[in-house]
Amino acid sequence: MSNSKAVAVVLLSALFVYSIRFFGLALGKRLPKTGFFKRAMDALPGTIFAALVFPGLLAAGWQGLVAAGLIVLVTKKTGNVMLAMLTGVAAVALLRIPVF
Amino acid sequence: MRETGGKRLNLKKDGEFYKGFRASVPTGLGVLTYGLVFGVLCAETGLSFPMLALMNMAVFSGSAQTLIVGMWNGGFPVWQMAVAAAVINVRYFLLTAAVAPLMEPYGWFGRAWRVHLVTDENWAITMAEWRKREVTVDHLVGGGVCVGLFWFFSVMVGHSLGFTLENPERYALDFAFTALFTALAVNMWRGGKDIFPWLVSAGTASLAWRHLPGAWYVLLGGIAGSVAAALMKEAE
Repeated sequence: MSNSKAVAVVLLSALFVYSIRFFGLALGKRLPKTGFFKRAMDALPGTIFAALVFPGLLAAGWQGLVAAGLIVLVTKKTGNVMLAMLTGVAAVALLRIPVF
Repeated sequence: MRETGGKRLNLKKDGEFYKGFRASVPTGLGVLTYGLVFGVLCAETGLSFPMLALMNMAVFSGSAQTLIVGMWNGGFPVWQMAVAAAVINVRYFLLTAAVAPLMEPYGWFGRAWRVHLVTDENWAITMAEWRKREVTVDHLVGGGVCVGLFWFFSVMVGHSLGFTLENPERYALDFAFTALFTALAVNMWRGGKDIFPWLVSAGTASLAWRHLPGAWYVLLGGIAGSVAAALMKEAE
């Protein structure tokens, strides 16, 4: 990525993320605390990650799916995201050795 | 803008700033381990040191920054990356709306810089404390400074440790972001009620990934899933 594009990405992202923080504050008590909007908002972070993860796992083939199983297991057991990530990466690296 | 009397930051040990800072240190250690990994990935992805320093201060959100860096070399247009960063952080609306009453003593300038220091970690700590007793916004600010320092320095150290490998596929480093996102997704799982929305999200995303350019799959999948979640409980 060119340097000018990188600066544009960082600054525009910063502006958008800051705007969300600011408008949440400004709207304050007027945001709905129940109902359709609230439920959609509560579900959104998780569904974004689901959307992010699935195509990548499918693209990584069966090795990716095995690794995903391990990542879920390690995250659930230890709560350590870094350890889970390293386990998944190590699993894919090992399973890519042509013996399999 | 006007700052009402006695509202200046008190940095002493008995002050709310110090209490909030200290209460956030344990989560700061969690931020530190994640920051180190993220910094290494940033070096691997090719972000420069000053660019990363700028992003740490200006964006100041682990999830948004991870998403941006994950898309960094994908050839996406600038606006798509920024919109994706915003969408993943829409929840901040709800966080900062909840602390709006704490900001009331301040004018708009005083609120404007304080609100930038709201992250998941210090927000949760201040909200928990607030349930037990009256707190001031300094508690939140102290926690934000704590999380911010841990984040900034761990990411920059990770970046400095960062190495570039000849042959990243061999070590499955192309899988690193997917692995990281998978682990983060596990932490966002809210139980059985997420099954249907996540299936909708995954299905929509996989279709869009095949047929649409750019990052549309992230946005469309996420939005379809969250609408599914909202509709689901309407039907009950």
